[in-house]
Amino acid sequence: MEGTLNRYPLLAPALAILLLLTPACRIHKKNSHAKAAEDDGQLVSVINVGDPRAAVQLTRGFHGLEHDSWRWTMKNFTATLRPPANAANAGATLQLKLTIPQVMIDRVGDMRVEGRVNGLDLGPQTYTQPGDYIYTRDVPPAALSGDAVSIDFHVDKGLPPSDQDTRELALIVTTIGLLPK
Amino acid sequence: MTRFSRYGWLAIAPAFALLIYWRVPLSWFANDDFAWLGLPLEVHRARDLIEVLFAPRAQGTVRFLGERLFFLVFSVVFGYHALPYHLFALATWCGDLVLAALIGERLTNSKAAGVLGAVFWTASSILVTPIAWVSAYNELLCGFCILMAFYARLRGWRVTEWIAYLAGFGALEVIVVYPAIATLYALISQQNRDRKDVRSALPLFIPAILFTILHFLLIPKNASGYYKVEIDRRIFSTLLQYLKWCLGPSRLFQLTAHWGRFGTRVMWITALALALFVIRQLWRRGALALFFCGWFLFLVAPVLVLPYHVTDYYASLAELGLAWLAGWAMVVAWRTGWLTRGFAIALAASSLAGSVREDDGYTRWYYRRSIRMEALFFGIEDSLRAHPGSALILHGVDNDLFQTGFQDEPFRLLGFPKVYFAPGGEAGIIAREDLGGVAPFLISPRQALSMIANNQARVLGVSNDGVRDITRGYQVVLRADPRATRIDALDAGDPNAAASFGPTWFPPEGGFRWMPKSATVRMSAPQDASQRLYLTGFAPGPVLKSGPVSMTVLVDGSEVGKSVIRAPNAQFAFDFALPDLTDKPSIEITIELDKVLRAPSDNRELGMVFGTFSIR
Repeated sequence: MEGTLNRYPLLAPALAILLLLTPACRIHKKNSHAKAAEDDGQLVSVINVGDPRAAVQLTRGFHGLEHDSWRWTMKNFTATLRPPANAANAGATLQLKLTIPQVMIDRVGDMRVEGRVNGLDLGPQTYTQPGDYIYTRDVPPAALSGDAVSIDFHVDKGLPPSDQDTRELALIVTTIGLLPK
Repeated sequence: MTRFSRYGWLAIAPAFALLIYWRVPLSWFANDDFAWLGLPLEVHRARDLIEVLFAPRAQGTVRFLGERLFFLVFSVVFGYHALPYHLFALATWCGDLVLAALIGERLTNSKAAGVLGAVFWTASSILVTPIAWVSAYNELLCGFCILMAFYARLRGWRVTEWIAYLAGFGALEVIVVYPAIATLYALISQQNRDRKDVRSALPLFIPAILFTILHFLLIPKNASGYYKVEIDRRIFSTLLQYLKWCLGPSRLFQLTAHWGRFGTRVMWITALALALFVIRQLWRRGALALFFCGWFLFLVAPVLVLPYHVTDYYASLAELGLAWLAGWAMVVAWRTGWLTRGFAIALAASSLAGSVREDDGYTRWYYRRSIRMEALFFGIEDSLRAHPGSALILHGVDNDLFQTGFQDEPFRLLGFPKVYFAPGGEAGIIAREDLGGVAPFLISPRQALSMIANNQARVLGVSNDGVRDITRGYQVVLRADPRATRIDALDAGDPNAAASFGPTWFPPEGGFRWMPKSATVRMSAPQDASQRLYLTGFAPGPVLKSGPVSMTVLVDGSEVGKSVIRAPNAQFAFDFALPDLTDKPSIEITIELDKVLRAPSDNRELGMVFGTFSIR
């Protein structure tokens, strides 16, 4: 054996590569993680933006999930929520849990957030300091009819796309919810 | 010492490479790979093979070995299983490294210099792309051809040299500089030899010159600005950029802000040390340093004239010249004294540590983006198997995933399904306009709702965890979206949009719709007074046979503009300002033509072919 290897020094590496290729020599069957499971069509009233099952309710204006818990938003973003039980009679409370980082205040100054439900303006809130906040507004019953409501948010300032980050950035959001009253 | 153990040193650089690039076999495909994976779809009969293998593609290239044959054979045998592609690429790379070590040893008379050169070469982060991205396999194969040809030259194996050299023309165009490399080596080695080496190198120029002439005269060039050849002073700044990439971990700052300055300093110190080493060698009439510099310059020269496409891996083969130089310098420093030995070891260790950190970051990036695309690709395949013929609406596609190959049409490999972004999902996507931009992926909320309701589309949610079918949930979301009831865009060829087209339109056929002399369309009123009306369509030659056709556009009975269509058998696109109609829920758009075609074989009165209508 040693004599053969001495005569053909590249034989061993070539055989090793062939052995490595052997399990690959079959037609591919896809990875198991690629299966497209179907959802049940049920929306929730409170979205944790890190929950992949609720991602469908982040209608537009949200960037990818970071650290499994939060997302940057654009200046305009929309989420769709299921009104809580009895909301058509009693209304509900909208809560947007957000963070304004120091870098945003440093670069754009005060930030004003406004919510809108079914054409109804919920009123602005201005944030002058970095930190964690909850934008809270009462939503009247008339704006909460149907199986789902689309809630638009607008932030007056944000960071435009740049070479360092090609995304438009406004708020860091963790939770959006309609709570029963 | 046995022959086996005598050759063991050749395994050092390949083993190091496999350690650095351990993620590569686990990665999938990306970007151009999808274009090449579709080659089997173009082969219907034997003669199609000629077109598939030799017709100019991409930037006007004919890399029939490095791209066409490689992808054709592997995609037929292994399908979309990326592992064999990556293993074959790694095996080629290991071959490159063995040859690099052998050549380095022969040139410097030092095994250590040869091995160090190969190790520095494989550690350089500009090699990540050719090794991790299957489409850049041509770099590895061309490297193998050049190195095999040159090693054969050193051993006096002329036939092998010619075979490897000629094969290189099927791998990558940069092979044309090989005769210059061979001639340079023949010239610098004249002190110990006769002129036989120079004479044997000269015929190598014949294929290179012929290839260059044919390449420039016969092959149509890519019209895209990315590959525009420009010869001006930017050549020097481009050269400097490639040098920075080749000389050390100059891009550490992209991965770790803390060590960024360290990487840049290591790169500059390496540059200074190598420059001093070259000067010292030239002072002592050591022309080998000149050869290593020449290797770098000859192989990087062809891409210096592409100022709009300065891409790190274009210097992959050139880098070896500097790697050999560094390996040789290490050995000389080791022999010179304790001070230089310590300095060389510290510098090499710093450079290697920084480069390996870069390699790790970049291979992880290739790995992550490719497996996200893999999950999406096979998620779509699953969905199409369960719902044949459905269009796909993708929710959660971010710019990183889009950049992994959406514009290379990966989903045509699954039978050409129509793929859209969930409405609004296009925000933040940066698409190349010369490849069609994001337009092919756009769908209005109304169209999306209509297609889902008619079982013509499935919605797939894309996340880091994979792909989920979220059709039912998304339908509920869309129903709550006031925009889903708006009509901001219409595709005349979409049967689902029939209700928006007036009674005079002819039925849609093949993705378009003929209009007669006059036709109407109903759309939602603009939401903003600055919005405009955009029309696209096609002007059939017979309609324009008697001259240009005038098209008048009215909105709610008032004329908003008039355009003249002059080009026959060509697409037209017009846009018109709109009056302030924001207080209205909808508007009626009327298109009127001043002439139509009455073909003898067709009783219809035919005007223009549409097309799309959009207000934005």
